[in-house]
Amino acid sequence: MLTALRVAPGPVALGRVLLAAGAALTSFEGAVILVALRGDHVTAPVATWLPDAAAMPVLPWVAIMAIASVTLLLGLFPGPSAAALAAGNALLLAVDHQLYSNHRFLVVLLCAWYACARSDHAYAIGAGARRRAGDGLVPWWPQLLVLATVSSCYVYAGLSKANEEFLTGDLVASMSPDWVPAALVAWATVPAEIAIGVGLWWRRTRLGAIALGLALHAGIVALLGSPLVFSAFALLCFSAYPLALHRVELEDLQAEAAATQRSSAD
Amino acid sequence: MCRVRWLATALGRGTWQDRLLLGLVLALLLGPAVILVVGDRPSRFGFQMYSGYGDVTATWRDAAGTEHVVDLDDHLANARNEVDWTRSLPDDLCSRIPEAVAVQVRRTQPGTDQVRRVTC
Repeated sequence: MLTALRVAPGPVALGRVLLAAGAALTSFEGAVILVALRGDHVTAPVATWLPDAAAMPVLPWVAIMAIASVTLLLGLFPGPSAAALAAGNALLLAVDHQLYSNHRFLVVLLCAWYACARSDHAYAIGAGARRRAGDGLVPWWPQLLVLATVSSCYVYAGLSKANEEFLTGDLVASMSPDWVPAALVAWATVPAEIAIGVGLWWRRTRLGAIALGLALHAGIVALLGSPLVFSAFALLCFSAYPLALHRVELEDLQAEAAATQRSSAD
Repeated sequence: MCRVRWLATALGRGTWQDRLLLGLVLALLLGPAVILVVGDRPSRFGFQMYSGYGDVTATWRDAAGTEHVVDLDDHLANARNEVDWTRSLPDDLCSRIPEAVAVQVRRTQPGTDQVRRVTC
C-alpha cells in the first residue's frame, strides 16, 4: 500500500534541483580535502584494506561528480546521476577519517533515496514527454525516506547540542563575529533544530518549521563563516522542504487503501 | 490512537516492500538515538553536527627543551574531533618535524583527557 502510492511529480523535481546543487558543493569540499591528502598532509585511513586517499585519482572523481551534479540538476538520467553522487561520496567516507562529515553522510542518504524517486517528471529536459507517456505520477516512498532523513538530521543535530560545552556558546563564539550573542544563539539553536525536525511531519506545523528552517540556515550562512559548507548543508536540507509541503497525509493513505479495496471487490 | 491502529493494521496487511520501507524509516528516525545514547561523543552517522565535543592540540619539543605549538592545519586536512588523533599522529609528527625530540598530542573529550607523548 505505502510503496504503491503515487503522487504529483512537481515537489520531488524541485527537491532534485536543490539536492543537485547541495551535492555539487559538498563534493567540491571533499575534492579540496582529497587534494590536501594527495599533497603532504597526514592520512588517516578508515581501514587498511581500503584504497589510500592519497592514491585516489582526484580528477576522474571530480569529473564524475561534476557531470552527475549537472545531469541531476537538469533532470537527465536522475537515477544514475544521484546513484553516482551517492557512491562517490560513500567512497570518500570509506577511505579516510578526514573525509567524513555529517553533510557528506546526508548527501549519500539523500542521493540514494532520490536515485529511486523518478524526479525527472517535472522541471527537467523532456519532462513533458515522460509525463504523457505514463500516468504522470511518481512513487511516494522515496519521498518519505528523504523526509525521514532530513527530519532525523535536524532532531539529532539539536539533541546532540544539548550539552554543557555547546551551551556555553564558546563554539558559536569561535565561529561568529564578536557582536553575536553566542550563548543566546547556542541556547536557541537546540529547540529550533528539534522543532524543525518534528514540525516537518505535521500539517499544522510544517509551514512554521520551513520558515524556521529558512531563518536558521540563513543565520548559519551569514554568521558562522564557511559559506560554501553551510550553503551546501542548507541546500541538502531544503531538498526535503517541497516534499514536506506536499506530504501525503494519513487521510490520503486511507483513501488509497479504500480505493484499492473497491477495485479488488470489483 | 485510532489512526495509529489503522496504520498498524494496514501495514500488517501490506507487502514486504511496505514493511521494508517502514523498517528503513524507523532506522532513520531511531538509529541516531541509539548512537547518541550508546556511542562516544561525538560519533559518526548520528548527525551530531557542531555539537562542541572535544578538541585536539599538539606540541613538540626541540633539543634545547623549548616547547612549540603545532599548527595542525599544516599537517591535517581536516582535524575532526571524533578521530582519536593520539594513536597515530604523534609518530607522524615526529617524522614530519625533523627538529622534534618529543611530540605530545592531546585530545580533550567530555569526561576524558587523552594525552600521548612520544620520543622521536
